[in-house]
Amino acid sequence: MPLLQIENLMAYYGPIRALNDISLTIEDGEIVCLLGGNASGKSTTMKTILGIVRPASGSVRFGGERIDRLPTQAIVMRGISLVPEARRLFGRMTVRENLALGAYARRHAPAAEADADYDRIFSLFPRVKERLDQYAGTLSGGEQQMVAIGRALMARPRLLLMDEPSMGLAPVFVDQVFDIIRAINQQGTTILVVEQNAAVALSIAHRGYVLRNGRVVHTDTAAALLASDEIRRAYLGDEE
Amino acid sequence: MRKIAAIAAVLAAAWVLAVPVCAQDTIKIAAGAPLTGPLAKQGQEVANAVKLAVEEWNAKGGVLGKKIAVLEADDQGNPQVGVAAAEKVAADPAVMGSVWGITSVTCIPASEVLDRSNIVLITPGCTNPKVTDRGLKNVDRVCARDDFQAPAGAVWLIQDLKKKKIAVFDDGTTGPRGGADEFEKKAKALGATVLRYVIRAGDKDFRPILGTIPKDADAIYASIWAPDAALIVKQLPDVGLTVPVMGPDGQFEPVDYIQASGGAAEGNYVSFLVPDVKKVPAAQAFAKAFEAKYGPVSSYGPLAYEATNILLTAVQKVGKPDREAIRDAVRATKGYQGALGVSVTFNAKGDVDTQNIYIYQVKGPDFIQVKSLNLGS
Amino acid sequence: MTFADILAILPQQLVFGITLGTAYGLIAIGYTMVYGVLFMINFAHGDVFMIGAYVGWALLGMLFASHVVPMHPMIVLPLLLVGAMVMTGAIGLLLERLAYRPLYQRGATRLGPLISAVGASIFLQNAVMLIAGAREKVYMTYSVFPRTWRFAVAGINVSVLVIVIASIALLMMLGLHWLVQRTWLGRSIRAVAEDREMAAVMGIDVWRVVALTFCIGSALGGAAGVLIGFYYTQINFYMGYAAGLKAFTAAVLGGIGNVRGAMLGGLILGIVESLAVTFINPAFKDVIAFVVLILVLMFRPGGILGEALPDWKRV
Ligand SMILES: Nc1ncnc2c1ncn2[C@@H]1O[C@H](COP(=O)(O)OP(=O)(O)O)[C@@H](O)[C@H]1O
Ligand SMILES: [Mg+2]
Repeated sequence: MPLLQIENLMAYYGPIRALNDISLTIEDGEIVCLLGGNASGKSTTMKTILGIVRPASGSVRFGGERIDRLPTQAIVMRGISLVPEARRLFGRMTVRENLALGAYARRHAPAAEADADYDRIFSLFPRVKERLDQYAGTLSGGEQQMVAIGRALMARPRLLLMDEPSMGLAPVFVDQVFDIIRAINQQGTTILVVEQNAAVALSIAHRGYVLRNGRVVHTDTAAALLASDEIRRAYLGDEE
Repeated sequence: MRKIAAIAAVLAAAWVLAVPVCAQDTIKIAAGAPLTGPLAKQGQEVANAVKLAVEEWNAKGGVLGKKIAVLEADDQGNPQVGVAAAEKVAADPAVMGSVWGITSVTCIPASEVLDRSNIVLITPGCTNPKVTDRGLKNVDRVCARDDFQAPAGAVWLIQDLKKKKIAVFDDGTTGPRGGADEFEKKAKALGATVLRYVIRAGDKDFRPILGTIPKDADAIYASIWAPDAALIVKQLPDVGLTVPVMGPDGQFEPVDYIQASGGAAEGNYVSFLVPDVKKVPAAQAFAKAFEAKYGPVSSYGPLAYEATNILLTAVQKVGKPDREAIRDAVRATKGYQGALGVSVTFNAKGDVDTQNIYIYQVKGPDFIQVKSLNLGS
Repeated sequence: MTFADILAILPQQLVFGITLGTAYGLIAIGYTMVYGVLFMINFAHGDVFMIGAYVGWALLGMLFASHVVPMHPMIVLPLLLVGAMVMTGAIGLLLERLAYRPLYQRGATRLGPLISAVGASIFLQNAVMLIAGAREKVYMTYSVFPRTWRFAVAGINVSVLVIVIASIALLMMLGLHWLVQRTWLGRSIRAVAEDREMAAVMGIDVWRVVALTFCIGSALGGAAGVLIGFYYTQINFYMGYAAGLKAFTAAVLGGIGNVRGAMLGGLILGIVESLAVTFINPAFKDVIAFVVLILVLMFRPGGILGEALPDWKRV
C-alpha cells in the first residue's frame, strides 16, 4: 500500500481550475520530486493534500485512509507536515516558539520526546540553536529555511511536503539543503519535494512527476527523467 | 358607477355629520409630559393626576354638560418630540387646554406651538423663568420659578445653615443651568462664594470633577436631575468631601435619589414646590384618591391636579368651548382655593403671585419637610 | 486655576484616571484579541461588557437578599466575577458561532461581519432592556465596600474600592499576558493572528482558537462590567455603547491587535479623560479622547505599540 495515493484530483480557485485530474502515489521511504513550470499546480497539489484547498472531486488517501474531507489540523495530526513556499515562519515569534508550534500536533507527548526532537534539529542545523531567542522575522533567508524545516520535523511527520526549499537561497545553502533532505529521508521520513531546480532535486529523488497546467504530463524514475531529452529541454535549462 | 357615487355621497355626509357630533360630545384636555424615557415616572404622575381630576369632574357631570377626556401627549423630555406632540394636540379641535410638562426644554417649544392655536398651557413643573417670561398669553404656571426655587435654596443654605463657600453644579441644559445661574446671583447677594461646575447628564463617573472642588467648600448646590445627583452624593466621599448637598425639585425622588444613593443622600436637602401633602389638611382627599389608584404621591401630582382643576374651572366660567376665552380666563384666576391649602392668583406673566417653596430633608427613605419659604413675586 | 491648584488636585485625578484606565484596558483587550484573529471589529463587545455588569448586578442583588454569605468583597467579588465571566464568555462563544462564523465560512467581505456585529449589538441591548427593564440599575457598591474603607495619603483620597478595581483589572491583564505568551492556547492565538493558514498547518484547529479568543475577550469584558458597575454604582442597558467606544479607541490607540497596546491605550485614555474633565471641560472629555487618538495616529499610524498595518490587514 502506498503511503500517499492521489486519484483523479480536481481543484479550483473559484472559476480557475488549478488541478486537472491529478493522480500520484508515494511509497513509504521515497523522495518524490514534483516538477513543472510556474503556475502548473505544484503548490496547489500540496495544499490539496493538506486540506487547505478543498478538492472538487477525486481522492487523497494517506496510509490507506481517505483524508480529502478532513480539516487541515486532522490531516496534520495523521503525520503530514509542510515546509511551505517562502518559508512563512511566524515572524513575530521567536525561533524557539516557531519550533514549539511545529510540535503542536505532539504537544501532549512526553517532554523527553520533544527534547529529543530539539536535539535532532540542532544536530541537523547547529545554527538554529544559536538563534533560539531571536525573532524569526529577523533571520537571514538560509536560517529561516533551516527553522522552517526544523519546525516541520518537530511534528515527527511520516510524510514531509517541501515546497521549493531552495528558493531564494544562496548557492552554498542550496547544496546544504539537499544534503539535509537526503539525511532526513535516510532517517525514515518520506518526502514530496517541489523544486524549480530540477537537476539537483532529481539527483536526490527516487521518482518524479511533471505537471503542466494542472495535469500530470510525465512520470518516471528520477534517473529516467534526468536522461529524458524532453525533460532536459523543458526543465533543466538545456537549450542544446 | 352610480352606485359608487351614491356610496361616496353617503360616506361624505356621514363624515360631515360625524365630526360636529364628536366635537359636541366631549371636551378634551391634554396631559403633556415625558411618559416614556428616563423621566417617565415623574411624567406619568402628572398624567395620572390630570386623569384623577378629570374623573372627579366627570363624576359630577363633566363641564359645559359634556364629558371630559384626557389626551395624553408624550414629549419624552425631548424638544423635538415635544413639538410633534404639541402639534398633534393643537390639531384636535376638541382640546380646550393643556397641563404640560416637567422639563422646561420641551415645555417652551411646545407652548409656542399651542399658542398658535390659542390653547392654554398650565405647567405644574417647568421652572425655568423663560417659560413665563416670553410674554405668551397662553402660558401659566402653578409651581414656583427657578429664579425663586434656586434663591430659596441659597437662602436656606446661607441664611439658615450659614454656609459660605458653595460648589454649584448644573448639566448644561436649559432648566438646570437657569437654576444654577439664579442660585449664583442670590448666593452672591447674600455674601457667599460660588464655584460653578458643569457635568454631563448621563455620565456615570463624576469623581474627576468632584475632585476639583476645593476642600474648604462647605456645601454643594446641585441643579441637576435625581439620577445624576444620586451618583454625585455616592461618589463625594471618594474625593474626601463630606458636605451637605442641596438640590431643586428634580431631586424630590425617593427611588431615583434617596434609594439610588444607597444611604449617601441622608441629611441632604431638596427644595420642592409642593408642601408635604400629609401636612396639608385640605390635600387629604386628593392624596387618598391618588394613592388608591396610582400609588403614593411622589412629585408633581398635586400641582398637576391643581392645574387641571384651575383649567376646568376656567372652562366652566367661560361657559362655551372657546379656546381664546378659556386662555384669558385661566390668566384671570384670582384667589383660587385649591387642594394645597394656598390660594392661587396668576400675575400678568402667568406666574403665581406668592411663590411657595418648601425645603425637605432626606431622612431614611423619606423626604421630611423642614421649612416653608414664601417669596413674593 | 493656578498652577498650585493644579498640582494639588493632579495626584487625586491620576488615581481616578488609572482606575478607569485599567477597566478600559480590560474591555479593550476584547476588541484587540478578536481583531487579532479575525481582522474584524466586534462592535457587540461593548454590549457584552454591559451584560457582565448586569449579571454582576443581578448576582449582587441575589446575594444581598438571600443572606447566605457575608457581604465581604473577598467573597462577593469572586462570585460576581466568575458568574459574569461565565455568562459573557458563553455569549462570546454564541456571538462567534451565530453572528460571525457563518459569514466567514461563506467567504464574507469585510462589511458583512461588521453589519452583523451592529445587529448583534442592537439585539443584546434590547434583550437586556426587555428582561431587566429600562430603568437604571443601582449597584450596592457601598454595602460591599463600606464608605469608611478609605484612607488619605499625602492629601490623595484612596478608597479600597479603587485599589481593588485597579488591582483586579491589572491581575487579569497579567494573567492574560501569561496565557498569551506562555501557554499552548496563547501560542495558537498568536499563530492564528499572524498566519491563519500556517497555523492550521501546525495542526491548530483555527476555528476553535477563534471561538476561544471570543470567549476569553468577552469574559474579560464581562469582568470589567462588574468592576465598572461597582465603580459607577449605576448601570443601564445602553452603557455598552459609550464604554465600548472608549475601549475601542483605547485598543486603536495602543495598536489594534496588540494585547499590551490595549492595556496601555486604556490607561492613557483613562488618565487623559480624567485630566480633561479637570482642566478643560467635562463636556469635551470624549472629544479630547479622540483628539489624542488622532494625534497618536498621525505620528504612529499603527498605534503606540502596533506596527503599521500591512494592506491586507487594514479594515
Ligand atoms: N490563492 C489563489 N487564488 C487563485 N488562484 C490561485 C491561487 N493560488 C494559485 N492559483 C492559481 O492556480 C494555478 C496553480 O498555482 P500553483 O499551484 O501555485 O502553481 P505552482 O506552485 O506550480 O507555481 C495558477 O494558475 C495560479 O494562478
Ligand atoms: Mg508554487
